[in-house]
Amino acid sequence: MNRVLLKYELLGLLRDTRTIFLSVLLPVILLPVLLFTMNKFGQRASGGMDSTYHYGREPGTGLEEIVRSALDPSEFREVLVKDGEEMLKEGNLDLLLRVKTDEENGASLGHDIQQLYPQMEQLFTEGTPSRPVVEILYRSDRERSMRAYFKVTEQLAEFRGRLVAELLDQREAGVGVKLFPQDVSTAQERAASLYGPALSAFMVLMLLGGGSVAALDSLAGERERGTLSTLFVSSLDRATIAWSKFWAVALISVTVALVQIANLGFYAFFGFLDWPTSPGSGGLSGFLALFLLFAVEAVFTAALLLHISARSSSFKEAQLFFFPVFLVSFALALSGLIPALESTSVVSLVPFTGPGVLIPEILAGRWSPLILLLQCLVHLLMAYALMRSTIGRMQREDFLGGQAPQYGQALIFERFSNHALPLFALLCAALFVVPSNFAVLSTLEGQGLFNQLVLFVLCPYLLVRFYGQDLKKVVPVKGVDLRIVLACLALIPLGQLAATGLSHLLGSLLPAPVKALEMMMELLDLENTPPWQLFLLIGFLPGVCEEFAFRGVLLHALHKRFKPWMLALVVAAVFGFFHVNFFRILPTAYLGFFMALLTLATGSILPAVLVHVGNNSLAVWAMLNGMDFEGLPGYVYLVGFVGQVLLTGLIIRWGAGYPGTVWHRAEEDPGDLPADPV
Amino acid sequence: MESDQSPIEVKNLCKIFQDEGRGKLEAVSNVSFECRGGEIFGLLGTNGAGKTTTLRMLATLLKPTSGNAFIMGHGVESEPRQVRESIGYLSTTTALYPRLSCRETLEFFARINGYAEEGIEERANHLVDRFGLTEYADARIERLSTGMKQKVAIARTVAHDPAVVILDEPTNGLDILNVLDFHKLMRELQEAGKTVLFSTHTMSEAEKLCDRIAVIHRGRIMACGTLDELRQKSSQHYLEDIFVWLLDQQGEDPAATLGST
Repeated sequence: MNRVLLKYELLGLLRDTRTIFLSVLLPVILLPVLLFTMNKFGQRASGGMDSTYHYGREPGTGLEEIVRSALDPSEFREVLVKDGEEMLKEGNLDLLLRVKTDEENGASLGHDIQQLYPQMEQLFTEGTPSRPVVEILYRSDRERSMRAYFKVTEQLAEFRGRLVAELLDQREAGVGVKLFPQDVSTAQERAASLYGPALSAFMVLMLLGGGSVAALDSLAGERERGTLSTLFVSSLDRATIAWSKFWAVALISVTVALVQIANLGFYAFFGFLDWPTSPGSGGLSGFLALFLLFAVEAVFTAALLLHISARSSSFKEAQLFFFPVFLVSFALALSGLIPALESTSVVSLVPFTGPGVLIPEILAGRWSPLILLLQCLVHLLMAYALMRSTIGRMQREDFLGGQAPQYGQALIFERFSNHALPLFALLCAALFVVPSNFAVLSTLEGQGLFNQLVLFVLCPYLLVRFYGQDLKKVVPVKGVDLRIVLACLALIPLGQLAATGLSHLLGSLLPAPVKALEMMMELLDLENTPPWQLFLLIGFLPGVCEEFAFRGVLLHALHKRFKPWMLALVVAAVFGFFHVNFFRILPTAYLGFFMALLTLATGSILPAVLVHVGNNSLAVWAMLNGMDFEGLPGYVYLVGFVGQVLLTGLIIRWGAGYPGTVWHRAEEDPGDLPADPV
Repeated sequence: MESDQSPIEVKNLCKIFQDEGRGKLEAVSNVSFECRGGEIFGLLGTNGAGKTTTLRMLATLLKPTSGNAFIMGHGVESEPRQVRESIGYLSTTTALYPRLSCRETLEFFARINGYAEEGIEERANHLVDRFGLTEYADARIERLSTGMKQKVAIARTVAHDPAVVILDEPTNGLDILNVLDFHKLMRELQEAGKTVLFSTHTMSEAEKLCDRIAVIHRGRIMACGTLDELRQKSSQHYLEDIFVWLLDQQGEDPAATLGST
């Protein structure tokens, strides 16, 4: 970062009256309007709208006594009307009450009421079903009318219940059920569930809104005007320029967000906003946790906005990109509204979504500092990754316009490589959303077919075809030495032990939710599923299909972007990410890492397929035989780990290496892409 | 830098682009020339001849496909930062920050290009005086006329007092008085010992200003030398005629070259 550039960037932005007006003044002015609307919605949802309703009663119907006894005079005011329906239509009344002929008995109820109401007991004694039927006319298109309707039915029902209870008491008939409703949630928890999601969304909204004008102008706008060219021929390198702009955007974004939060605080302090007096944010630690989340979200937002800016050649184009990003980010930040979603799930690895779930937990005073740390790390790492990508983009020759220097196969491969990770992100989202919304796909068979065949084989295959890549190179299927095969066979139990040991270790930090384990066993349904199906759907199919997708397509797409060790880590992380819950992510990512190493060491996916199928089948076999790898002495797991590392090391030594990487030992593949595109 | 080394040395520079419509496009092909210290060197050619691409490679905005170039002894590929520190670069695509004043602009570019902090104010004042910007020194760039903006842009280019000044079609869009003022500035830079490399398609400008000229066409240098050397070689007096003669030598019809690049 260059402080001179940062200072002048800020100076330029502060002199931009458009930025100041749109990012700071306008939200300050609009906030009361927003709060007023939110309050109205809140009151509507909680039924807290304070009002007196006017109901019309047509004279001479005999309704008088009922409504006077049943309705709360502080809430309902009677208006005697002649043409009540007309008045209701015109909005002069909230409700119209009148008695209706009882269709069951054909009796005139007005008459019955006059006769029967004072002698209610007689009604029951004689067993005549003739009873007053009160007709309530309301308008569903008007909120007040609707509310009055709900209230009047509630009070009439309560009145009726009271009468029935009195009668039963008089007759000493001890029937019925007594209800004692009791809300066991604390005020703090109720406030957290109500305000947590809103706070998360508000934070994201303000950060995105506050930094947007500055960020979009910072690269896209300057690129359009030509001022970026001027900077690029200065002695500053492009990474320094990018980081200076990043800090300028982050500072602006945080400042604007803080102004808005202070503004919100002002309304809360003076009681304009119905904020709980004791939101119970868990005291100082809760406040610090919220502030930390806010800070890392600000860093991530700045990187995200700058990245959008770097991808756009003009301010207008940046605005086009910004809009969907804004909507998606806002939706992600509202994740706290999704029932039963906890921060100990994969959502903690998704920016904005994790805090969306964690903030209500912090407000409720039940949060894990470990998860907070993880979310902070995720935001910072993703911000860093976005900035690396932004800098990479800025370093491209065609960034300032003009032509790209690459051509032919190299360019097509680069696009394939760039689009692989976004495709896998989409697949992961589909894995989340689709099976849970289609009952047929949520079974073991359905998941096997959809996840494995559609998501892991068909979609990656289409990506390969779309970019015209050679499938034989993308998914290399080559025979390997016998000693490698033997080593792979030994890796199966060793890997199982090491992964189980890792699960134990992880379990002491973040215990696996019992519900998730139960759901998994329910899905497997060991008693009703034939063993061959279990072996096929859990052992064989994932072993083949997942290797095709991860160690095949994904690994090949990224093999020019990372060194082998880093590549194995990235592929493993993506692989782990597809296993939703934390207690499964790390062990699967761990095994995925070793399988990626096997592919990179041998230049073939077969060893990884062998180990994967073997590993899963071993787990199925153990389950069917009522065995598990739990509860063994600690050194057994350690032996598993050491054995796995040693054998993998040997395979790396023996293998021919993956073509196109530094591990490749064989003659250069003549069909491989030239290192230098020109 | 070794004492006998020229401030600008260009050796077999090539640049190939992939044009979506036309495929592989050799914008600059094997271009070599050198500019000596204190010299005004002109790169003369028609639109699309490869002048801008060559200068952009020298300014490190583009990477050469092959060949190399050195500015004050620094390779454009191996030491891009040092190259940018040594040059002042101006082109039609380099604009100024609209919300900074003239003085702030000059101070800013002097500062980020490593000019000694204690001398920055004095340097900015000197440039403001030299370019006749006193009246507008504290006005924001966005409020200046095109001519004034161009003056500030040129002042910005030399704000950090670089040894080499590279100007890509600097007189484009200027009125005659500003063009004359610009010519005066070029002479002043030369007198101050700067090496100036500029591109133009205006033959008269090249004739008037340049100590030496390289004529570039379709990415290749057709001829390079002083005006007298070119006249001698072609037996033509005016640069326009020399240019047509050079095209003829290449077996090209000047009329047919229109729109060929």
